[in-house]
Amino acid sequence: MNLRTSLQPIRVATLMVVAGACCWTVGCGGPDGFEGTPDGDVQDVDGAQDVKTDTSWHVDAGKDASTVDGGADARTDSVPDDVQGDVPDDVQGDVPDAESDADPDVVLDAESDAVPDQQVPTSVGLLVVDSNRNGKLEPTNAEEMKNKATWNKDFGAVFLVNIDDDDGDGSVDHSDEVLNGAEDVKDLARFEVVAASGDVPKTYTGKLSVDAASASKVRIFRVKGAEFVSQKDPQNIVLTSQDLAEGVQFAIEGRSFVMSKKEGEWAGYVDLTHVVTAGGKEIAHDVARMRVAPLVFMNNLMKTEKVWAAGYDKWFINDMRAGLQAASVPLDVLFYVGYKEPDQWTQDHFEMGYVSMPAEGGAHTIKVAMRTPTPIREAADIVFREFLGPDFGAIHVRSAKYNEWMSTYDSMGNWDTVPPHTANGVSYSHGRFIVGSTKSTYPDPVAIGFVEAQAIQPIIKVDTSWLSVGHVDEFSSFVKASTPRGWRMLFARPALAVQMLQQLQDDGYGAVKMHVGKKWYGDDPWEVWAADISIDEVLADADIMATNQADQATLNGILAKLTTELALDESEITFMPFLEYEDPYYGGSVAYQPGTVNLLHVDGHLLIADPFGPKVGGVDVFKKDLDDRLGSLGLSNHYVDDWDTYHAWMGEVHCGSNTLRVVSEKDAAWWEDGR
Amino acid sequence: MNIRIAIIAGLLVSMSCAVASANGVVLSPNQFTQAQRVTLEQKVAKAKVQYPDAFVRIRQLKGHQPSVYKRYRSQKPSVVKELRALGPGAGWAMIDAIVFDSLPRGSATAEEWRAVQQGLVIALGELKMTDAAPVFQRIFDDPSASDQLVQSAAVAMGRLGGMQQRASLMQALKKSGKKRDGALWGLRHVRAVPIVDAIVPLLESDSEQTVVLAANALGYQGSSWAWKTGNAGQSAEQMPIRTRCMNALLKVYLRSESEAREAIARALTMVEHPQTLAKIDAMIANTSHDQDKQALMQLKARLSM
Repeated sequence: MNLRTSLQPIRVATLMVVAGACCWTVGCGGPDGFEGTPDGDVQDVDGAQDVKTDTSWHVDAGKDASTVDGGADARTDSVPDDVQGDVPDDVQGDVPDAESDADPDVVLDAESDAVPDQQVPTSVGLLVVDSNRNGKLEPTNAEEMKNKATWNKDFGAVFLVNIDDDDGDGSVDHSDEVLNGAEDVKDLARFEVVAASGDVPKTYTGKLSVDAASASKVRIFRVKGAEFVSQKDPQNIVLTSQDLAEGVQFAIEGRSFVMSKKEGEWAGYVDLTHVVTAGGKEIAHDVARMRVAPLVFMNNLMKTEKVWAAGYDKWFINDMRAGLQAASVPLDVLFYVGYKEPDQWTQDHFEMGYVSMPAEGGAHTIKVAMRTPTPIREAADIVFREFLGPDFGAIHVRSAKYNEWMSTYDSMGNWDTVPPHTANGVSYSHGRFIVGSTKSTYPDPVAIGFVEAQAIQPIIKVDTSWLSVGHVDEFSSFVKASTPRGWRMLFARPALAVQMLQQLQDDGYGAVKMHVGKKWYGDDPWEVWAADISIDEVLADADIMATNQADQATLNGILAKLTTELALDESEITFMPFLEYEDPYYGGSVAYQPGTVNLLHVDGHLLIADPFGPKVGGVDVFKKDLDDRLGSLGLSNHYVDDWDTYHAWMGEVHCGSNTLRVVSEKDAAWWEDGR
Repeated sequence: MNIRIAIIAGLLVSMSCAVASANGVVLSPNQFTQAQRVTLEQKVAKAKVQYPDAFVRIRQLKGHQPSVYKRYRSQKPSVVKELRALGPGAGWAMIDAIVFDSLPRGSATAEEWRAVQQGLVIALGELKMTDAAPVFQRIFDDPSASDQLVQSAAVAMGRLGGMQQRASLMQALKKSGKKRDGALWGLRHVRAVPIVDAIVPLLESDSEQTVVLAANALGYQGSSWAWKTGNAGQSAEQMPIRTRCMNALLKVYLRSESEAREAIARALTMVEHPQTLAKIDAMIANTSHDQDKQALMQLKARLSM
């Protein structure tokens, strides 16, 4: 018996990246710093094939079993026998007989081939990664060593795209070849070539490499005390015999997320290979696997760290502040100083997410703002101009040839996250991504392909083509609930608004007006006209009624789909009453009464557009309905006058705000999801 | 105040000079018969005197300028709201701009200028102004007009709903292309049995898009909520229309797929005929195909929401 462990076949997708497929700018220092965006179409490359990879460590120090059994080296002895030949859980394909499948060419007899007259180390060139995800490198930990080439929900090392800016130079940290200050150290995952267990002959050299597909996706630093030296070629990192004897620590940073699930695209796994040779012959060979952390999007159930809103409307800001104070959440007002074309739709500018990896004492997280794909939206550049900083990253992903006609579907109000749930027997530990998309109305394909490629939050697509603006936040929202699921869905229901108005009419209040004191307006005083209208007038308008019935019919279809997809029962859905009208130019609907479902949920508090409904006995009937409807669920309503700056311009509270959430250990542990 | 009057007077003089020769934003005067042109010119001239502000304001549209439309959540240009607020004389100011005296384009992009063109037609259509009927008809008949303009003109004609407009729109259903598609939009607003009967055959079209448009049109024809307002059409026609719509939509439901089936389900929801669920039950009882039964059960559940 010799020390050689089995060679195990792993089905590994051969990854080929076709340059110019897209513009993704994690490396940019802002809107002017986009990385190369060569024109070109994304090409599929069929490259999946079976390759044989040694998934475990081995040192061939002789074919005599006694070399192992009787070895004096503690490190070697610390690896239990069952390490050798075990098949990682994620290995696909047949597992051949270890002996018969072994390639004799890579098995060297140290006694015969190694330099004579020198003591041969019983282990040399072993790799260790944090496969057990405790933030430490533990070469003496059998579990860690056994699973280092594994990647599944239980084991597998993680590294981050170094997408924040620790040195404040305005560029994300992976865009240069240096360590960007002391804080940057935390963003780099470590792995190690373990010190040999005995003397290492001077003829021994090591070659550490990453797989070809990963070479341009990562940067490897060699760590020497406090010094981090970037390795020019991650496929050819040379270790001397002294390095092998003393061991070397490396740090790795991602330069790219997984960009697409298409065949041939990089899948995010980095296979490290370390080969020790002497005189041209292989002495030892070890492999380990790491995976780049996906971008995980935040959901409404996560505790709120702060809320952003644009500072255009003091009434809006005052109401927002009051509601947020009740929730003990700070408001960060954005003023867009120096922007030529800012706009007030803070929700649409970016979607918040995070990347995380195991670290000692708890997961290390970088919050990441994903900028809307549309290139022409100056206010969205705030994520690079103002947010990018320590532990706060920013990314912009889009097609090189961007289709501006579809840009509204790239407003981030059309991108949302359904909180964690189990549906139809499948667990979605970090929820699901929900986006408005149809055959003819869709977000940027490269950007949505990027979201899909993150894998942790599978995508649900719903029809938003019937809306003038076209965003999912115009008809759905997710809020905390004291139910087994932990959340409920709020869903627009024009039928309920009609029913309420008809009831008021039947009760003799048909002449009562709604939207009292509010105005529709354009850009000049002469364009202003009163928005107040009586219940009778609304209910007598055949166009408004037909439009709302059409919308209700469409919403029924979407609700049926979501009810099935999310396995919701009726008690988990709360309907939100408001009427819509048809925007004649774009042929789609938009909220006529303030769209109350388009709300901001922060820790059980709801900031809702003031409905300015008809008042009976001094009480706003729609407001009271919402208080009864939502208050009984344990939610606290806070009304925000968003009419002038948002409602009149086709949006509401959610559109005018964005939220930074706290990433808990549970949220951070995406690796436990199994996707 | 005097200065303002002087400015307006100056503008009116310049605009009066322009009427006879210039083209409008969408049409040119020579696309009309002489009688129509003269009538329109005279009425426009009279309105200019009577409602000068509208003619001044229309030349100051801003909704197609990025500084304004970027405030809309859609981020797309639209001048409809401004046009709605032009006040007295708005219709004549819009006719003037559409036919005789084009507005200053400035640096408007193609998309921004389309928003002005289409916005004018839409806003004029909303006024249901019978004097504007020839304008809509010319646009509807103009082979060089864009699909969107044809559709907007058709909707305006539907809103007017006169016999001539009905006949023109129904005639267009017999052909294919943008006029038929536009007519299906326009006929949503004219609820009458003959119109339903003219639309129903289009549910059998090979084109999914046409089936979707036809189903949508029938949904609006039969909309129970619209009929409840008392302003949707002749009340005696309500149930005959809704019944025809229901029967036609149910007839093709199982034969339809994907978007067309979804559109039919939506339309049936809108028609909300009291016999729909019973009819579906009968269809379920009469079908031997499990897949059809399942589809009908899903439809029934959908209509019960």
